[in-house]
Amino acid sequence: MVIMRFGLLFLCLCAVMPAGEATLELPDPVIPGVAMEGTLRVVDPPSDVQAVDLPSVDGLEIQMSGQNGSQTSITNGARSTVITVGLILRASQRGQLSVPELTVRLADGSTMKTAPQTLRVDNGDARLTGNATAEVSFDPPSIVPGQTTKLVYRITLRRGEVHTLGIGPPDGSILLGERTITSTRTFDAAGKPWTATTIVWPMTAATAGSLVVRGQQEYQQVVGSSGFDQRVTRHQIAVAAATLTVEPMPTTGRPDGFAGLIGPLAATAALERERVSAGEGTVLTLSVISRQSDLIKRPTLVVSGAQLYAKDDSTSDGTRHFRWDVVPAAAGSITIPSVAFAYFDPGSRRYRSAATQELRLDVIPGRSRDLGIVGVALPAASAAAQAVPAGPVLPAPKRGGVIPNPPVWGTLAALVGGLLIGLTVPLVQLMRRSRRGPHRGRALRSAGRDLQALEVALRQLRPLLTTEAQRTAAEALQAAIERCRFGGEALPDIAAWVAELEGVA
Amino acid sequence: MSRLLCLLLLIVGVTAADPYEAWTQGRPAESVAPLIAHAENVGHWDAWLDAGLAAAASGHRGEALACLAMAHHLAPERAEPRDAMRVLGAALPTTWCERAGPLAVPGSGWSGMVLCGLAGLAIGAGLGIRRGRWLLLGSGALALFIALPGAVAPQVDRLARWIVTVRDTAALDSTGAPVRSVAEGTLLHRDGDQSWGGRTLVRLPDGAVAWIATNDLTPGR
Repeated sequence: MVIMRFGLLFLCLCAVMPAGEATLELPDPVIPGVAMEGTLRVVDPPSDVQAVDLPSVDGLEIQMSGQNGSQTSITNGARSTVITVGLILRASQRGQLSVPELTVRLADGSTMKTAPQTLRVDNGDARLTGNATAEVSFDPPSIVPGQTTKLVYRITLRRGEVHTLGIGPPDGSILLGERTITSTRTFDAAGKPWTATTIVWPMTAATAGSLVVRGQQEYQQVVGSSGFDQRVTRHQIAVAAATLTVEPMPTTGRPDGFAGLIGPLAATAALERERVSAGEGTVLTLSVISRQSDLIKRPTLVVSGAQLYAKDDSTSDGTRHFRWDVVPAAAGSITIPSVAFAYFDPGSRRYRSAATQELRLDVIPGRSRDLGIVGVALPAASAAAQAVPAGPVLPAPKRGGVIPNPPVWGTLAALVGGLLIGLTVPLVQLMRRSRRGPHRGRALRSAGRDLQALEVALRQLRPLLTTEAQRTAAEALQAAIERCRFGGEALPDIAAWVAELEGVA
Repeated sequence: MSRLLCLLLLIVGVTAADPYEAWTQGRPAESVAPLIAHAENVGHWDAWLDAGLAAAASGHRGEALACLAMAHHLAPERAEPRDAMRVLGAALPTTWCERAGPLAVPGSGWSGMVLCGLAGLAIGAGLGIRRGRWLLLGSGALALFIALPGAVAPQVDRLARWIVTVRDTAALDSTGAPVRSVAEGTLLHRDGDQSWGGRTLVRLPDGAVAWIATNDLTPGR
């Protein structure tokens, strides 16, 4: 139990502690007799680097250059430190050298080791002269229509950088994807480093003939010794022409079912279940792997003893899948025949075919069960009608017997129209009310016990009184108001008189 | 004058050929062209559906799918065109009208128009009067909410502009070079309104963009 606890604690500490790493970056190749720079990188050391034990290798001299550095970065709260130690290497002769592991001694007494490496000592690229070179080539340089080739453009610069690409895929070619750009370091015969930029376009051509790529490449350099006289200068170099030969496909030996597929191509067949009961079905899948998977058409399959119903096609990762529902007609053994796909093999310049393997489907008799059926016997349906499930059918023609849909803008027009009509209703009410004037009876009610307001409302109401009861109530109310205003009496309860007069418009 | 006009109309009515006549006599292939002309003339979805069914009956799958795609574009809420397209093997993805299901029924077609009219009426009246304002506004909002799926789903489906190749053809790049072959009856997605030199910019089933000769595509799109 105690051992297990300590083990868990150790694992937790290992997980929390940063994983340090020491790597050795050496030039490839090392030029014989030339002092070349290498770098020892120590990533996330547990403590400071104290010393580096340089190994002794026959034919190779390794020294510290003294150009050391340290860089710390914090990303998403995670701190990372990289210590670089500069090395100088000088090899005496060409060949392969094995560099054993370098030991890095740290301040806390621990050590870190690099992995052993094999060093290639060879002459530098003698073609790298001057300040820049550019070359272009096709890989392969000869194809047939539809076959994929690569346009490889390599620019090497002693100093400076590429301004814009001087060449691209020629007119008449068909690009098959995005270009890829890689940048590497290489060395000339004197051991000086160059920057090599390689651009690759995957492409093909639709018709036979020759396609030529040529042009000039522009690059720019910064010249001058200080910030005041530094300036950018642009230069051009010629790019040697490269020719892509597109040969016509041979007419001899072309199979009937050839659909323009270029190899390599592989085809496989598989059954979802190789053993089913009578009345059950299974799914047959043909998979064809090709770079032109979209060109592959669904083959016509006839299987004796079973009915095939085509399902959807699909393409994934350059593989085209064709699927069928296989419905056996009766119990027994059914053979799914081999299916061949013709293609042109550019390697051998011949037409070939990729065939699927033959498959066997075992159909075992289904379980029978006695059923008691009550009712009137119907005429027996044919066996074929019972075996084949009813599939979806096309709808019947309409022949103009459909009410046409409202126009697309009809719904919006109905909404806006309804809104406008709805808004007119309160407007009409408002107009009628303003023509009729205010309701005088309600004005009397709203006057409450305000003598002034009661007096005004009653005066306006008086011409509209029609019944004797209304006149009596008005007289009584008028008298009460006057007694209150001029006689100093309190206003009596006027609710009954107001109720009588309230209904007068 | 009016008698002369009536006589003229009678003559035109008698002599106008029924586009369905050859089809009813067992020759659907002869009905395809008149039915397409009729559909282009009236612009109704059911006319395009009938033209597509006639083309399917005569074995012209590409032409049939092209007409059915037109019918589907004009009435995405109707199941007949899309069902027929699927029966003919077109990989039509699930439409928004199908996703909405019965929720789209009240808001589509004439019922949707009536519902939106009532909603507008209730909201308009509710904005203007005080008594019963919230009842009217609530009723209008509820009617709009009910109509929304059926009103919006067909419009969203119409944004997917399906076109079909009516014959085996080739997808071209911008230089006019053939990139790959495209089989008759392939369902394509029109990419913008770009047409140039008798070619139309389309999106192929695998997502690639290419040009295809306009004459090889759905008529009228």
